[in-house]
Amino acid sequence: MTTPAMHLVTEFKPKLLQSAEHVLCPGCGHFVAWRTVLDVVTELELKPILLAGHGCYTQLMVQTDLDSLQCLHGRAPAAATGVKRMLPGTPVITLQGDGDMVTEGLHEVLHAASRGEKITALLLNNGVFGDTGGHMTATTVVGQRTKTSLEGRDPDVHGHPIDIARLLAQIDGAAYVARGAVNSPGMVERTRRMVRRALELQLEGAGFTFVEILTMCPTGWFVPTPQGPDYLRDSLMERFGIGEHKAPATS
Amino acid sequence: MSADIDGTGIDGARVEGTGVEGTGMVLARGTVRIDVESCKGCYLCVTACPPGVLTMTTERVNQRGYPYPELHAGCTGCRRCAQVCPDFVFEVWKYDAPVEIEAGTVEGSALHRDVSPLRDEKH
Repeated sequence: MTTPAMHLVTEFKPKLLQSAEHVLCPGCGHFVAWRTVLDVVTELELKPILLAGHGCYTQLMVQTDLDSLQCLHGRAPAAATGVKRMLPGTPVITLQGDGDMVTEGLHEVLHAASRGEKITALLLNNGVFGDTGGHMTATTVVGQRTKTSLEGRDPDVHGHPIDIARLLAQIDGAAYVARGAVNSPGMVERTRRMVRRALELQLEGAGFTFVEILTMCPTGWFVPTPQGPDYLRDSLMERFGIGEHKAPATS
Repeated sequence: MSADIDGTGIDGARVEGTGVEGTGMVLARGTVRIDVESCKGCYLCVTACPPGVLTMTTERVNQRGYPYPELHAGCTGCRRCAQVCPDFVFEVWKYDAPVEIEAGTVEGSALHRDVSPLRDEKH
């Protein structure tokens, strides 16, 4: 039998990733989100500098063929400020998790946004500290089970989650604030467009751009991996919502 | 995005439904190559596949001990499995013209390679 004529649509891994093998858990959404980001970077033919915080996603930075810098907890936007001011022509991307950005170093991203630093900040939000054992973060939604809120987050005891995208959208220096997710192929596509818009606006010098990506953490949520996407939809997505919170008017 | 569409049991029950069972010829517009040894058996591709032609193995595992997806006839080459796969298991190809292939598991779609249990000399 002759092989029918066919063409390649999607390669195994993005070209910017040095190795497809990683140590993150089965069903983890971080690499789904990162593939989306790397696809956009390749599409726009950028050579950005990447600044990552501390968390599971630091593995992403290690395996990616980009100039990169690891920053202290939450300090990626502060370090990115220095990088961008010294190299104004270079695209700068920061990569942080919810524990890193919202719990440990919230003020850094707020100040970077209010200064209007021309960087793109990416937040991979799964509502738990995955790297250090799955305890509660500031974005854990009410009712969500984590290792330190076994009966679900209770507002009376643990307080309320911080809606970081809505918070940043109020800041004048922020030019673009959006929230996507990676729980379904349609959402991945929507998130890809958000990341692309954010990077384009950074290149135009519009100001601080921010994309939050909700990702699955079945290990931290205590759910079987096939239920991860549905759990994300019913918990984080239900509470925070998906969409652009702030975007410049398109001409 | 339900985890149990077409009876895909979370406990590893075999999928029953379109593209998986039956005999005769099935029209395929694309195909995927599956890097079996990269898979961690998370099922995300199975729930994301619109024609439902991916099923997880129930009796066989890869060298790391995880079940892995198998392709059945009827793939459309829509890329969704690759979009949601956290472990870069899929390479998607599209036929220039739709081809008819026999129903059942697609021959040659799974790539098996040797994976050392201690990974490689870089570690």
